[in-house]
Amino acid sequence: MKLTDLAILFVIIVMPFILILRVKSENLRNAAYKSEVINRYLDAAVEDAAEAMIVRGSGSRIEISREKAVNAFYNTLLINFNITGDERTKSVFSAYVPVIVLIDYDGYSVMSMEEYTNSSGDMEQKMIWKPKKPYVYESNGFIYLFTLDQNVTVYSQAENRFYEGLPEDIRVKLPDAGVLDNDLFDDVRKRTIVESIRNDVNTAINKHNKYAARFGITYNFSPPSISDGDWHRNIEDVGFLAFFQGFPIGLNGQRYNSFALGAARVVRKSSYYIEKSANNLFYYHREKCKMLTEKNRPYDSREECALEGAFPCPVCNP
Amino acid sequence: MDDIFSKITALILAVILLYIFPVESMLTRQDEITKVFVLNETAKFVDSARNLGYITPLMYTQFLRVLSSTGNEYEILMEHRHISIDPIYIDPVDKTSFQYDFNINENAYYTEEILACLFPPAAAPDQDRYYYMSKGDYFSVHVYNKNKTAAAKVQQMLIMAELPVKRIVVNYGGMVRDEAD
Repeated sequence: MKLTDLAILFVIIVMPFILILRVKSENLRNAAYKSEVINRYLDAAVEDAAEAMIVRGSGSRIEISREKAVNAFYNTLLINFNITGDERTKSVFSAYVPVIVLIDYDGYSVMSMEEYTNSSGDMEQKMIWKPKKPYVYESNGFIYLFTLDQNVTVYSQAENRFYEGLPEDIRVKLPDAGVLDNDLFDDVRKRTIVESIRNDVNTAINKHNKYAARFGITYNFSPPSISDGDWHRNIEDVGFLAFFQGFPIGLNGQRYNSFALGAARVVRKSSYYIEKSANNLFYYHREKCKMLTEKNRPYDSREECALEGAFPCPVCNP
Repeated sequence: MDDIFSKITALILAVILLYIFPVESMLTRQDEITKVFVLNETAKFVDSARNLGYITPLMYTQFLRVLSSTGNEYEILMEHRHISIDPIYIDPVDKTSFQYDFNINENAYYTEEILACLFPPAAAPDQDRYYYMSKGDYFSVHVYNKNKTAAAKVQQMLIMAELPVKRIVVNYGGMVRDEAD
């Protein structure tokens, strides 16, 4: 055999292996890219949820709306996956979100799949908000209700009364309540908050397997391994925590499994103004609208303006 | 005779292995990088629009310039879903027919309308060319390549078949978080 023949033989033997390896590595790269894309989507969605959940209530009070948060979360996620308006896909898609947690100042609520009998007597499964739970810790006949900052409520079983305030202040009145000790307090508070949320998340995810199978998802949902440090770093402020699992991202059976947390921030105030236009109708405008000739009375929200009977201005489109 | 045949085969294989194969894998790698780059740039554009609450002509042209630096041509589709809060009248002209309630309606605006605002036919001051959105609206951008990428062309040559054009497809969007001042 000549050298050229040997070379051809070599190529014929080696080529299949090279091609197979290439296809495999391409698949892996695609899965990595896909999971990066979904990370972005998930981050955007939880941030939007955290943004949307803060609602200005009556007066200058700030309220937290669980429904608005979940709506914003799903809207953003569905827009990014390009499935808005497709109800069936939407319901299947929601099965990839086993649990959502809303972390509030003095407690947290968990949203997870629940089976119940509806008003017409049929069994139904749906993502449902469970009642809000406080961050509770019990020891030595005292029950501590923690918050995300230093404020704490202590219930003394012996006296049957509540004490509310900073740990230093309560300590003067309740010298026996050991947890209020400066060194201990922060540790116990953080651990209580993280442990209670973690327990509920794990239970919800494990329970989710039963429901996901009905949507044709064969993934085995299990709580992602999140280190203690991560939990402690993440849960420090009012926010929105969502888990997204089991979404297929590769040909080799790779699944996406991650979570994201968005922290809320304070809402900025914007004002709207109502003015009568030339055609005798009332319109409400943004502050900077060029159609606006005089600013009489500012309104806090578009809803308030609409309740006065004013239409949105066609120029500034508030 | 036999000798010539093996020489020609060896030559063809050598050309494919030495020139076309490396070029193809390099170009594929480039597509891979372009994909991530386009995703990052699209996210940057969309996020800044969402955080500011408006799109300026400069933002859009910069976005275009950055995308064109990848050497491909892209189709950019924008969608703005505006949440409009409208009072309910039985007859809008008749003030007494006001129902003391409002509807929350969704209006969608697409690339054409947004571009018409950013680049009006007549010259206008910069501030008037901003495209404003409201807090709570949804804004999303869909980008895909219009031309066949170089990698696709080489691969077509290798397998002698037509390949789909769309390779770099990016979809990104979200809620508008803040309103313009």
